[in-house]
Amino acid sequence: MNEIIEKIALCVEFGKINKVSPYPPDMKGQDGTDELTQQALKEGIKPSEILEKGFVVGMDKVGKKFSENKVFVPQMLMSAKAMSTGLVHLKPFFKSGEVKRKGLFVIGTVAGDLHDIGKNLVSMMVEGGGWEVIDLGTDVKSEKFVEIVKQHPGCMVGLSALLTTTMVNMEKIVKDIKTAVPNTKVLIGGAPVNTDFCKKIGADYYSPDPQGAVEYLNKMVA
Amino acid sequence: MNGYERINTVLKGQWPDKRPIMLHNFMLATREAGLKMKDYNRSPENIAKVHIQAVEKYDLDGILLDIDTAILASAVGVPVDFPEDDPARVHEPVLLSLSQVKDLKPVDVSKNERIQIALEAAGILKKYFGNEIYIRGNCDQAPFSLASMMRTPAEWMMDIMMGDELVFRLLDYCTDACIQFVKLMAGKGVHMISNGDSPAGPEMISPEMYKIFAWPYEKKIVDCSHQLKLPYMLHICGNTNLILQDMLETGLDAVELDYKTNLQLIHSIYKDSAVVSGTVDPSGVFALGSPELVEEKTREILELYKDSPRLIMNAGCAIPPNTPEENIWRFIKVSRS
Repeated sequence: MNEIIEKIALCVEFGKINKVSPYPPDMKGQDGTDELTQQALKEGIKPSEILEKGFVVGMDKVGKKFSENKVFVPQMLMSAKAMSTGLVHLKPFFKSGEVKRKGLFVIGTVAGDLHDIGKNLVSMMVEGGGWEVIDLGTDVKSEKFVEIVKQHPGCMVGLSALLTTTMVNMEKIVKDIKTAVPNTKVLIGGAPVNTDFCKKIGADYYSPDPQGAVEYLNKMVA
Repeated sequence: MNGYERINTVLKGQWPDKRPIMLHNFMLATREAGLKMKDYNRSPENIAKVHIQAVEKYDLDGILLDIDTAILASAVGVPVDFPEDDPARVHEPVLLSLSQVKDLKPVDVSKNERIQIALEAAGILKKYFGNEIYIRGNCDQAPFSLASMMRTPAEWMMDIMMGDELVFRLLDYCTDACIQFVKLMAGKGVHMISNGDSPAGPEMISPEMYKIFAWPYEKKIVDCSHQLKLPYMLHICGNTNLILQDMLETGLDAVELDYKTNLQLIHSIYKDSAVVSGTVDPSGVFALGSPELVEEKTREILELYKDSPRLIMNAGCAIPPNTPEENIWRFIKVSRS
């Protein structure tokens, strides 16, 4: 594989954002995804190849490590930041349609909850995995989810909650979405939720980590 | 035994006459008192009233005096949001960059209105119950968690990766604020001090990061509590399997843990060493489960702990306000049986 693309994948895997960033210590002074993505485009490498073989590969590796408790949220955030910094240079190619997306993923933290780390990680990983993402932010009421789902039938939806007191709001949101656009797939995640809760509220999938969410979405469109 | 005696007894590792119950119930109790959160969190009298009613209704042994997770944050200048009927919360930083730590001035948390509300509520409850009912004076967030609020959790998680000594300066600052609150709360005659440090759990950071950025500061709070002759409880929700032993090594007297942590592991580590408060799932079981499920999960804990007195029956985290009363009654009935 092209050396630059391999380096991009490594930078995403280890969270190397740009040359100035001191993290990770053993990549200090090296180019990060910011510089390498621009260089790759200048050298005529296809944006789709940069995405598939650079970003997706890198995020896939760090996502698996996260699932296995080999890295934790701080390292994931650095990787996600490295990826999103590089992804900025590919956005014009998404808009033009030159790089095709796998589908649309709508995500938000549920009503009453302002926590967003988990949601942001999933959002960035899914985008890095080749999906278009609409991030509704935090404290998102059912009506907002329904409005967006109606505008984009066929999209997948992700709900996040970090509090035992807000996760209970997921049930209504799931019900309202599926009433409005039946067959919409809804994933849930967040520290206090689990598979039993997912079944109880009629959601389609629970993932304990972002990697699981990406794999589920990819399976749905395979 | 009265409630205070019951909880004191288990803290000494001795068998009580029956299992003590102290619920993480401030939201539920507020709703049952017919109040909204905005009525609760701004009035010491309402805070006390809510907990008095809950104790007398359910014959609880202790009060977890909890208002929300934005008390200390408010005292150190983090902007706080006050929804009509949800706990107060933060979502903006007070430190836009880590370099601003250099400009932080010492803070006197006693001057903060929200701290004073918490203290006054503690005073009212102590005056009302004396040594009949155990009062756990929750002092909000431990230093790591407070630092995460000052920066926002996402920025803080990345800060700790950068090897900048300002991270430790911020942790020292937060420890000072926390210790101030602990001393003030102790002065109100509460029977126990506690803090929450959930952002420091393994759902967020590695055990190695916990040992560097959270543990030393939790230990300082534990030591302070002990110097004030008060036992200390630490709350970390989520799956804490990987740091259970480390948490114990802070010298804490009790932990509040939730259902995601392995119960057998909790029992093996804590049964002879520290009290466990928990661990029933507050949402999936208490709020959304049937009374039969509540009974099943409660019996699981009691069965495992039949060889140890070090248990306070509780949910693992805050019980949602819409929890059916019948589920609370079933929990209490089985816990007492």
